[in-house]
Amino acid sequence: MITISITPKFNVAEIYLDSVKIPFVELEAELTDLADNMLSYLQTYINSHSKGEHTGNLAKSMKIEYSSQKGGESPSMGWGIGHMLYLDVFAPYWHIINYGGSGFKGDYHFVPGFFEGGKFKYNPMMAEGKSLPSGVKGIIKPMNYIEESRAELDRQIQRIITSLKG
Amino acid sequence: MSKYRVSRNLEASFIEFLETTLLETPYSWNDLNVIKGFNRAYELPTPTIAVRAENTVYDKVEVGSNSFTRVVQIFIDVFGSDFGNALDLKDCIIEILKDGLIYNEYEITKSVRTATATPTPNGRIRIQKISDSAINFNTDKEKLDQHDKFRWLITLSVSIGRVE
Repeated sequence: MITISITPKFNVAEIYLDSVKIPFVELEAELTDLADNMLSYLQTYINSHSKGEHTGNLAKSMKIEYSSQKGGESPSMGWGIGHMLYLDVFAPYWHIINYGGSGFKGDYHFVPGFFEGGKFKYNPMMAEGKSLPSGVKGIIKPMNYIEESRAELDRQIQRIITSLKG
Repeated sequence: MSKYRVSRNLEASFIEFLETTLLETPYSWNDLNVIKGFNRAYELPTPTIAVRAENTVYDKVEVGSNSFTRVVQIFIDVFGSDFGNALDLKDCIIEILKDGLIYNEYEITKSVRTATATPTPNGRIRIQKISDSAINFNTDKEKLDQHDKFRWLITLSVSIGRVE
């Protein structure tokens, strides 16, 4: 008689190391550096492709957000640049600058929040808020900073993986 | 007589290929405009496809060499006449582009009022990456220009695999 027992016992970090052959700690360090480099790349790209006089507000509104889980059997790290809810408030024209289009004449952009001490406080959970002018008119040529940054990100990740694999 | 350089050859090859293929069987799109650039799409009725060659990356062929291969980003803006139209159009475009297309080199002959571009096939355009995304402005559709109501953006990374 043959008895088979299956014990689901494994270590994700070991499986990752076996398959990808890159130590997670080194990869994590490289990807953390990449976040800063990508932010700088994106801001430079936006500023250098902005036409005429501009406030630099869109580039300044780009921030990095991290999401990491250190240690344990399944360590992870992640980051993103440009939180849409934040951009909707501080650079509400981010969408039309990226994709281009015909300006919304006389249109206003609703921002949820409240006033406190003479300053407007953003709160996405509130139904009340204020309306801000979209501030764009005429046909806006697309800058496609999102697509360009995504292509640059792919190139940089490929470079990192190639260099770590030796 | 003048000649287009690589970026304009790429744009023109895409426009010619899309125009020909989408109007033919089995796609048979009617009243479709395929143009170069972006702004002019707002002067034409929908559906319109606008093709642009934008950022280019030059990779060195080998260390110490002055030779490069280029990868060009091609943006295809789809301005649909309704949501289903835009969705179908972008799927058709991806379906016909995924296998690549012929790279034409164009020679321009100018007369007093007209300019004629004559294509000569010289290689193949390879599609390295495709992505598409719906463009939804966070605003009431009624306030949007007709062209911005049902839009899609297709982004391609392409190469002609040539050492320059």
